[in-house]
Amino acid sequence: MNDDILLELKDVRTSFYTHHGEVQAVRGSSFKLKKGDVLGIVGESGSGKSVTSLSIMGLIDEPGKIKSGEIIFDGKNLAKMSQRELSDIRGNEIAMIFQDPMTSLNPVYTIKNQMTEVIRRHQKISQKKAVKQAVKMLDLVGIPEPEKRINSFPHEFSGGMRQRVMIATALSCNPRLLIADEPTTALDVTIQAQILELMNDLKEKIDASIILITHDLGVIAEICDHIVVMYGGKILEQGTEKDIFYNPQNPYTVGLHKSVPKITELENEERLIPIEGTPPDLMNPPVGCPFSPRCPHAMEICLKEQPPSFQLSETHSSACWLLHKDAPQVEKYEKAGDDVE
Amino acid sequence: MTLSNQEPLLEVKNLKKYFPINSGFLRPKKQYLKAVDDISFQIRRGETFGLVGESGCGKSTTGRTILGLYRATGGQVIFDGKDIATVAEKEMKPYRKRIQMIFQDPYASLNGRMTVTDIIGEGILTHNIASGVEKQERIYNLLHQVGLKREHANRYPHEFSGGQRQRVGIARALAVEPDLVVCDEPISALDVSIQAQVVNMMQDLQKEMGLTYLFIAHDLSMVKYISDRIGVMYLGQMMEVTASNELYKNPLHPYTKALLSAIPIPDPDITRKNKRVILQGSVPSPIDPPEGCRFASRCPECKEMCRHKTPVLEEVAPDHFVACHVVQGKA
Repeated sequence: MNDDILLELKDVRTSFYTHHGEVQAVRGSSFKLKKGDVLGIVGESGSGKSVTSLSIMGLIDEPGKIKSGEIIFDGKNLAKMSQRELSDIRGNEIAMIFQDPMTSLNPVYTIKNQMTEVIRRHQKISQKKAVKQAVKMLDLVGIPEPEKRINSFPHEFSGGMRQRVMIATALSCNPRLLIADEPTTALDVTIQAQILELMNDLKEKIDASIILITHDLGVIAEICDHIVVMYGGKILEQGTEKDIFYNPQNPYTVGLHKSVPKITELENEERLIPIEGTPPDLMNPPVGCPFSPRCPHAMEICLKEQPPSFQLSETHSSACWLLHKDAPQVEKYEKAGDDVE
Repeated sequence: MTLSNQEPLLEVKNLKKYFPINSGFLRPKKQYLKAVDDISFQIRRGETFGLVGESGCGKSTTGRTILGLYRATGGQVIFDGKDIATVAEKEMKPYRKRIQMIFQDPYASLNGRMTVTDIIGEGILTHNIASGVEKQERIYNLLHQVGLKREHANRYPHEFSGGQRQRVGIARALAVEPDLVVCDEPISALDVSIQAQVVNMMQDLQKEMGLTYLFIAHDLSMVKYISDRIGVMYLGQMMEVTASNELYKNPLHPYTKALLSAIPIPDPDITRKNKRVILQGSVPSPIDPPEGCRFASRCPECKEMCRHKTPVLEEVAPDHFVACHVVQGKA
């Protein structure tokens, strides 16, 4: 029906069945990704952002399980596919970059070995052609002298260079969706800037949609078109970068904005406003809104019942009872939005 | 906020810390990893001095050498008028009480077999500050100060979340009533929403107890927020030292400029228009680094002279120190 939607998640629920009980890591995620867009998922540790991406990749292992929901990628439901069918899609149509480039590359094989393995798994081409393709990709991500460097082992590269190799490998089969899970978290700021610039540059060059997962609002601000804010396994708010940064409509998003110091403000007089309390235990999550125990505006209903997602505009939605027509008006956004000219 | 002309609590003079790399069959000459190579700075009483730099720049080594956890290879660490870098181990004890540390990883820095009472009380007993009921009362007070409850005293570290553990770590450091607290990346292992809680608490405690902080971190926005003055390190050397607002308003060293422009700002309108100084390459190896400015290989403004002569930290504007030939007008 909608041709420009590449990926759609419909009420995806993923749980891990441990000895201590069921950990409900993702509790009903729904979002859409347009072709060519960059979608950012932001959240703290334990918010379910990584599990969401692993669910899309079909990489949820025992004792984990996608309980319910649909993951529609290009008209096919990934959640219903067998591992065999998925392995034709993984690395080919959907590729992933992980946080730590050292542990995701195999230290005993050369880069050539690892890159051509991916290419030849999905394309019927000769080793020679595969090497050529790999060299081309390394060149694209800015590795100097790719013909020579392709014979190196991972330990011969620095952290930033390794991450470039990971990106080159991920892009080597021309995927239609690239998932980057905290791609710059393990890197220094100056290297992070290099990688972000590379991703911005690639966004124009390659014909793929990107899902970027991070805890850093700064990284999100850099390249994302659409942003999903997750907390306690649920999506609390989603919208365009304008919606989320200049018109946040969920107390958690507002709290996040307020708790990071703004480097652009020259005086340090303003005190940070932290979010009190700690994130919920997903073993037995709150009955109501996951943020309600920490929310400064929590009402009775917030503790009892999960808020539905209120559609605020075509792009912007937020799950918060304060948006219900009977809710009291509270001044919750006065600080976060005032950076707009 | 900055109190100039005040006597320093800590003065670091030409501090060096080299780690020998054991020579072996393939390495006939003994080499040194120069983690900290000739740095000098002062920390004034009651202020927060921020130390920033990328990984491997020597900021943690500096902190640990000040504490005496590493023996300095050369130079002086003058704490309250006395050089503690050369003091005998036996005489170090009173200084250990006065300088304390908060560690980065709240999971690794607390002994899992000790209760919170034991963890906090250990220092109190070692330094004969209190014992018995008085000690316990002190522990309760400390827990209250860091936002924990009385009943937490008998629990073990694994029963706490990351943020709460860091609070225990802070209570432990403050238990012996130190003057100077070296905070080595105290918040970088915590979630964004918890970071602000801990930072606010550290600022409150500073006011209440008259503490001086050496705040080591790589997150420049947080360092700018908490510090009065900031030192920027690169590959074992100090590049620029000045008041925190001055550093952000008027950075002079090319490395500081690049570092500042690399920070992603959580504001799409600003960050997308922002013209970045993207540094090429990565930090070179600190093992026997070449002569000249350490930053020369990546510096966009590098001149011939920078490759031969190591620049010295000089005051180029009031209370603004820079080590760069170009800024100093020599190249």
